[in-house]
Amino acid sequence: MSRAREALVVNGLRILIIAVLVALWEYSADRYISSLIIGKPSLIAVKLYEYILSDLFREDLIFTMQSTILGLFLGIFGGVAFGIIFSHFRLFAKSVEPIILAINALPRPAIAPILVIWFGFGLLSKVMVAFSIVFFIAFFNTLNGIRSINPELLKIARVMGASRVQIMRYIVIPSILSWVFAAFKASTSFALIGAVIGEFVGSTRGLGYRMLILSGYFDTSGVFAILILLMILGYSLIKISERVENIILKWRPPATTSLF
Amino acid sequence: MAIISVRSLSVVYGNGVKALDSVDLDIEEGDVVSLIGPSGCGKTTLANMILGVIPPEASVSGSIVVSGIDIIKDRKSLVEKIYRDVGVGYVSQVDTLLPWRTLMDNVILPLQIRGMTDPEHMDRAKYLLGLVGLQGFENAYPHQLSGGMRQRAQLVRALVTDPKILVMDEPFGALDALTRVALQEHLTRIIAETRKTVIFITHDLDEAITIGTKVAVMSKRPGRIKMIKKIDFPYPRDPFKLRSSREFEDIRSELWSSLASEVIAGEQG
Repeated sequence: MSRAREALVVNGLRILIIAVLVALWEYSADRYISSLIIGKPSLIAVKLYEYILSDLFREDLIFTMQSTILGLFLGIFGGVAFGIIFSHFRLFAKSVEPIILAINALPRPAIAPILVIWFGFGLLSKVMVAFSIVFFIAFFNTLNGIRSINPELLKIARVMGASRVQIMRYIVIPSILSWVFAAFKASTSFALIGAVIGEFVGSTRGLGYRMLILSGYFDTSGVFAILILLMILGYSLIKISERVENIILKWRPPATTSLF
Repeated sequence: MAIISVRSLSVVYGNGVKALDSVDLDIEEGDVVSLIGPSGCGKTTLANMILGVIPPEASVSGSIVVSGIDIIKDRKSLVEKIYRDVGVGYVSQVDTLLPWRTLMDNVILPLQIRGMTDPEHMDRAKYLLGLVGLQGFENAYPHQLSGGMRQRAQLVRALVTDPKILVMDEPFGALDALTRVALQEHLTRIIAETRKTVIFITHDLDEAITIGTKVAVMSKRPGRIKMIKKIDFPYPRDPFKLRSSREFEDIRSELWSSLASEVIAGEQG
């Protein structure tokens, strides 16, 4: 089968599968199971339409995106910076390593309440929850990046007459970034998870907050409408970060094996 | 006067292993010294010492004088200055191209480090790439190149600042036999053209003879220089023709008997 034909068939099948599932859902809602429990696609569509047209939507979307993106970038920056400092002080690193592992072992939803107490109901507490996840991903990848540097590379740089700063700039930092950006996609989805958790725990706006309110009213279709929006937001962010990853890591050899 | 002069150099590593035992070696400007010896005899240690990479926690005695400066005893700033002035290029056995840089960017890294990215030096980089048959691959990433191409790129990188001394530590060790012979031919052509003083470490006797104007045989550990043989074939050399010549055979058997006694002794020790 040619590539173009295959793409046509795959896309056709996708649309068909989704259409069948939605039709089954619509048919069973209020017929076999109450729409109060499973929602109803037609109702969801109406709720989605009304919500998107309202001012609330813009406010919520911007709020959630802001906390996700701020948490993502601050987390990466902080994790890389701390990882570099950490690897430069061997004794300090050895001493605090178990503390860092223990903090990282905490389930993030569990620390969200304390972050809300500290940083309030506004944007900052959501940024901090997202940050608390991304920071550790970046931190551990930074350590891996530093540890995986070929000692022969450092020797060659020294023979070239490179200063400590130049070794950092030309060899250590690019090596770290290649590891950190290899986890950029994962970091993005974790940042969104963190932002939504923060909104669940205590907020005055945001997509996660809006969903919590609607579920309090037992507005199942409304909850589904927000879920769909979160899905679209998450998917777009992942696709964008995949692009960024591919551009930055374009020197990487392509994967030679594929499952399909 | 010798450009590199090693005098009764002994190195004992922190774990008590004696790597070098009173090594004496004079390298004149323009010499191409092939260093050969059984594995573990301290060839790489000697190369590292000449590169100024002195292993930490090792006890070192003796001296290495490069262009009049004792790199072990003299002040660090003086040593750094002499390395900058004389220039030392280094080609390692393992692949040390940076995977995130294109071929051209890899090759000009030493220029960037020294702030020498002027058009003249950039042209030199391009010229050298052409000399080893890599023109047209400037924008390729290392993973897109073959092992032989990557090794040639490392050679260009080592030469781009026009150093007087070139240290090569089993540079073709990881390559297949055919690629290796092709690169040997490349190397003798480049040496003839650029007139470098070369220290060439290898465990392949044919390669040692093909490349060197002198072959230094090292003893088993702890390494000493056991014998030095002058090789008088003119540069550039054709490895294929050379190896079928009568003189090559004679030199080969002479060096081989010297080397074999070390290998057998090494096995028993």
